[in-house]
Amino acid sequence: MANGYMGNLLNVNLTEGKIAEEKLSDELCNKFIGGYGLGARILYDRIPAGADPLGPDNILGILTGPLTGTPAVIGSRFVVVAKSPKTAGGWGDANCGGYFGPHLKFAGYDGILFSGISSEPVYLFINEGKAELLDAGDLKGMGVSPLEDLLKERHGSDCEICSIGPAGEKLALTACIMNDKERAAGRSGLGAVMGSKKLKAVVVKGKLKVPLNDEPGMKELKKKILKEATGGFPAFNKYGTAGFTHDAVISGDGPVKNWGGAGTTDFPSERARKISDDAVIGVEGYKPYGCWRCPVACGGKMVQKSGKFALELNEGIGHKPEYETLAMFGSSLLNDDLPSIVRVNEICNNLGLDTIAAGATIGYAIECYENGLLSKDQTDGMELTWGNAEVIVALTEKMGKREGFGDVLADGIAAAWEKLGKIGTEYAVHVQGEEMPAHDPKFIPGLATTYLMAATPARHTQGGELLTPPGFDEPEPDKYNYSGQAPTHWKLVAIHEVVNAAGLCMFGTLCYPIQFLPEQLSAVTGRNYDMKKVYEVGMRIFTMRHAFNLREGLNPLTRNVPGRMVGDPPLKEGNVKDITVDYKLMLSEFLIHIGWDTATTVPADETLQKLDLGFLIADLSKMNVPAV
Amino acid sequence: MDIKLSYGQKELLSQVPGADRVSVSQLMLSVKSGQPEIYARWCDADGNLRHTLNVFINGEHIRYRDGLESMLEEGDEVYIVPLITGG
Repeated sequence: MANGYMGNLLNVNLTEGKIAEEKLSDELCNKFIGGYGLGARILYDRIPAGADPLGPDNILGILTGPLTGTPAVIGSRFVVVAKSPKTAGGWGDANCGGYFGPHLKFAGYDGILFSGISSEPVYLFINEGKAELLDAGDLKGMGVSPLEDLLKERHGSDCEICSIGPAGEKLALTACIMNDKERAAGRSGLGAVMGSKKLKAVVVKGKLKVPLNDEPGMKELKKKILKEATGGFPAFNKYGTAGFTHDAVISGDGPVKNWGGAGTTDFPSERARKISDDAVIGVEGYKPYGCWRCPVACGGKMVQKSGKFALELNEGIGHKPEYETLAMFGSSLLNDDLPSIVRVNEICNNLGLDTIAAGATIGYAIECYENGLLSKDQTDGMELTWGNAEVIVALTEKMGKREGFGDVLADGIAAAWEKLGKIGTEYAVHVQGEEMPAHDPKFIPGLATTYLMAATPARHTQGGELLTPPGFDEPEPDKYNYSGQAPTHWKLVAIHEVVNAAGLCMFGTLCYPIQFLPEQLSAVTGRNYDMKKVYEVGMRIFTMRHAFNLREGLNPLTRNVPGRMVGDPPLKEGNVKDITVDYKLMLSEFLIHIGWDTATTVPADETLQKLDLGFLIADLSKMNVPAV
Repeated sequence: MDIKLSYGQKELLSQVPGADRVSVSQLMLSVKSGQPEIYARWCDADGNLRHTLNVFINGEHIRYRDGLESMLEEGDEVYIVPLITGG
């Protein structure tokens, strides 16, 4: 077994209550690295096609990468993987920082695979190589924050916990999986998958060490990387992601009025500043917060003990909202009331809601209401108007608890649109059930390819021009010249497939030259990595996740394309006015460039052979993928 | 000439001495001698603007004016926004 891995997976059959260890395959790790790369390969074999995402045949995987829990910069991440109940039963994954990932490895495991459904609520406790399922009857309905307090009291303050809140228990498709109280594996609706299995939490504890191939070399490399920190480091370090809200809103990158408005006219600079940079870190008692051994420490904690949006947990101390939360609950809803967003953040984290999905869905509802498509009779008497901070907070809480109108919205925009009789289609900004995150393809056209072609739709963390790391020295074509983007785009995608699979935080890789990525992988694992191998393995992972969808009969070219996402019709104001993204041309060139069929997206046999995925050729030839 | 130039959250310039008229590219070049490391993040060796940057004059993208050759007026505010993302 290469270094960087603990060498063990844990299989937990929740139907039978059985737990079994499995040796990690060295060959699979070499080919797919770890994280969702490894997850996609394993789940492709073990989840039958057509399985119900909320049924016993789905498998929920919690996986780390070889750099998780090592001195690599920043090795704090883990991923959750499963068949998604949110995106038409396609591939689902969500990435998370905090402390849980490293400690899962210190407890002896690279990952856990949960199958079946428990008859009663349970949680898994791993104490350095010893795992047991424990009764969670007394934890039912608990919020994430008090749950973590209770479990730490029960199992010791040195344990780490990932869990779901009431939203996940009630199978809300906007539910996420939380750790360290306020770090979220937010997307793909995986909190609902965990809830469907009646698995409330996973508690890990241990002091094992991750084996490193070259420990002194890795430590020296870390020093060198930190010395050369560049790119986004100063801004991430000082403000975290909250530093970008103003610029994103004004530039046209961020959402304004549910993507129907423009920052320059609907949410101008003086309003955007109220939920951005200095305003956010200038609040009472602000202190930086970092995930496990993170030198960037982009997070923060803030005090909000008084006022109508006083925090209700942890003695009035909450986490700083991230950019996505500030944008989706701020500029997108024309809400410049920062304390209300801090409170919404606490509610989402405690009830276990994805802030992107929740904010976007509320934006859809508000726009329907403002245009007379919804009435007070349907909204529990609430006035769903733009910028109505009290209502935004109240509705978020109702969503997390599935109460009243909140129940209608709890499964996200696509489900709400169906339940409400398909009203306001123009306002329903999602791709295949996943709400669009707070970055606009009209501002960064390459994101259209990312949102429409990655196995997990509408995800800004899946690589592309938004995430261009320092040291990436490929040609930079004019972003509005839609032809000729593919040779650069695929490399940016491949880089982030590897970053995500390795267990690294992308904010690290945006702060140092990307050539340190393969160097760190080599120093930790002992295998030889260079950028060529990064691109090769990255495309293998990208293709493997895609194959999971193809087997489900899902062709990404059949995904709905929200007009507001691509400027059809274009905006008439702001910094992306008159822009209509020629996404069809970009997709077509991308598919040709990476060797996938331009009608079915099935990779050519030659492409699969080149990626050492020959085993998929026979499978894919039998699949009935609709052509476009 | 009073012209404010900001890069992200950092204000780099508030005045351009001895100039009657100045273009965006000239303004950016004026940073090069004093802060070459910052200029290198904006433009490649050939002086081409990196695609990870966006430049705005009083909140309007230079794309809607004359690009880097847009001429600035007294009191204009130029923002250079690095394209970085958030969680």
